Amino acid sequence: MKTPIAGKLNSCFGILLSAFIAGVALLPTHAMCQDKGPYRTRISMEAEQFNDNSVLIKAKLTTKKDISLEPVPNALMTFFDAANDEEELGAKKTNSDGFANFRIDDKNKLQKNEDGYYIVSVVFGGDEMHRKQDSEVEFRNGRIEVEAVERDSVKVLLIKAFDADSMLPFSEQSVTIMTPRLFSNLILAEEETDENGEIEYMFTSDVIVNVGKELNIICSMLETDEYGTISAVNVTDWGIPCPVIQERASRKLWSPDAPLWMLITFFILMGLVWGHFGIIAYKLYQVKKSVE
Amino acid sequence: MNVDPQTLTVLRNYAPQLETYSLKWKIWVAFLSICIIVGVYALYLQVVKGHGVTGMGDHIAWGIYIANFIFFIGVSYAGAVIISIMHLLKVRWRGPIIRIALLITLFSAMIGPIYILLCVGRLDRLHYLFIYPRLQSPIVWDVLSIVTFVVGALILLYLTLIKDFALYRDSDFLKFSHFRKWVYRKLALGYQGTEFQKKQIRISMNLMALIIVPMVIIVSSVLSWIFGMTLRPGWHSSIFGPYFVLAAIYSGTAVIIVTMWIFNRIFDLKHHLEEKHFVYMGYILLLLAAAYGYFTFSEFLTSWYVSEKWESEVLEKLFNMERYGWSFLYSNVIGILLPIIVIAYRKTRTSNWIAFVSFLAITALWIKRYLIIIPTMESTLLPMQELNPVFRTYSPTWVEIALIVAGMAAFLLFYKLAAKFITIIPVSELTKADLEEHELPALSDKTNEQ
Repeated sequence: MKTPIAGKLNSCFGILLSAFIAGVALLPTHAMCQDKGPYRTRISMEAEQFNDNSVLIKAKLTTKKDISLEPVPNALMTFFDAANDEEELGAKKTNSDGFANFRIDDKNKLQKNEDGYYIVSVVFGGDEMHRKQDSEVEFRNGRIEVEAVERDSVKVLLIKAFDADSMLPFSEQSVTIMTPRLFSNLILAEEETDENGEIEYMFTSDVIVNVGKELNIICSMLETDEYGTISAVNVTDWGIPCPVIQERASRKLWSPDAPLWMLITFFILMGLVWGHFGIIAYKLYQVKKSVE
Repeated sequence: MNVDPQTLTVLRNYAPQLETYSLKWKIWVAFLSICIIVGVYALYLQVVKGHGVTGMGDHIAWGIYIANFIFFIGVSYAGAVIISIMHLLKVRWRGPIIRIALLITLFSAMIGPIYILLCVGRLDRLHYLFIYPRLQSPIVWDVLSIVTFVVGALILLYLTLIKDFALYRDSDFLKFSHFRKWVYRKLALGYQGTEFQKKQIRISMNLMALIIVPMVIIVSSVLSWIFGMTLRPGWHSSIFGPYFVLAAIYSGTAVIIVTMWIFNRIFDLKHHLEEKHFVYMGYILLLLAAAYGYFTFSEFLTSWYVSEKWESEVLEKLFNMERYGWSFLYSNVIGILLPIIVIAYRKTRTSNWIAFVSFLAITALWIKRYLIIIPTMESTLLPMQELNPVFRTYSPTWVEIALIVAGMAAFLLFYKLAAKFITIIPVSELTKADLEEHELPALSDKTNEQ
């Protein structure tokens, strides 16, 4: 005979068991839902200003699967001027590394907010696998000017970094002097501006270039808080031409040309054998001719 | 052309073999053709799906194709060199063996290189070997030497056939089609048996015999240097040159003996291929087996004694009964000791026994070629990253086996077709002494009228 307490315990147990079964049954479903997406996304942005008034906005779209961040390729990213009522600037698809690099030819066409910042926002509209996301980057109008001069046969780079709106110099700021190479930029020097925002750098590096003497020098303030990255490119003729010495490798076993003794031996052997064949062919021809 | 009546009698005896196509012959040709067709299908699969259908892979890039290539090329060299030496030494009993040996030479030399093509992944780039040859490469040497050898074998065979072609041309009792007669007429080059023509052919044969012997030594050595000039354990050995020369001649001799025995049965050639021919060839086989055994012993003793790490790895596989131990035993005991014992012992020095041990020696030598290639390929100098045992060892697939069988079927088929085109016995080379010795049946009246 069941007691009331036993009955209650039975009920509790039944409820708990049902909840457990339901949870177990639902868990794979939930996990499967998670496996199917859409996944949460994240956008990181950078702005790089150049001395031709252009700005390169780099937006990287990533998603988190398991524990690692993975880039999202081929996703359409739309760029807006956030300070100008979100006026659409254009769109770009992300590359295989998840980067959408959008170039604004003239930053003066952008509006500034009341604090003097340019604000560029980017929106990813989302798709079946990835959730919608947006982000923005703000930067002030900075500029670097570079002049390459020669004083008494000494090559000097005159660098000046300043705020382009207020014309105030960037004092005690680090400027990296680089030159572009095959895969990335080669850092030649890192200098600090003086109180006037200027650097006088004596260019002593011997940089070999592929064609002629043309050498591109990039001076950058990298990833500053308020201005993003500010870069200036100067084309000089300070490059050292690459010495192309068309020297043919000597005849060796492991060179394109075989050793001489090998060539001679080969031709003698082949000549001997095929010479025999030639003589025999001639003799057979004589056999045939003798009948005629 | 004036022909000895007894020669005509011999030809008349063998005429049916040239003229008629028996049911048994047709069945054989059909069977061999089917084997070849299956091989062609296997080749199609390999070309369309890639080398993934074979047992070869990243680590073991050479398999039974290369083993078969070496085997066929080795066999082809033997026929040429044996006949050339016999010709130069004017060995009296060489007559009936000439054609058998030279046909083996030519057909093996034609089929062997096909296996290299099967092994090459990008056949569309094959012509680069000729356009951009690298003279320092043993592979380039091998290509050129094999091409040269095939041409030489063809010339040598043709020189021995001219007189027979003239015989077929002039023998009206042979029931050939007009086209076939025309082919014989063209191939006979107008040979009439004049002293001048005989002299030209004799000089040509002497020249070819002279050049073939060093050529075979060089081409066999070149073939061995594809292996010997690598740094792989088991291959990088200075003994490989003479070792391959000897192995080639040994395997070729065994093939000649087996072929002689087969044709003896099929064409009833006992008047020409007598017991003494088998015994003499058996003596040659014995000598070669002994020399081959010496080279094998020397090679393995040297490798084993130094206990060099990589060499020991290969030897460990060869001596391990769970890996290649049984194959190793078979290739050395059956391939070397058994022929020596059988031929040395008088009671077993018979055509049947000699043919039997020759057949076993052929299989043993094929296995030896396999053992030269595969254990070494499985012993890489850098450790294999692949953990899957399937990729660490080699096992041929049906595609490869089908192509091996197709190659052998093609060899037999060529032989069968050749035996319909020309007599296996070089009738025109039989001397008067040979004919009297064989006590052939008397001439018919028809032949007398001719």
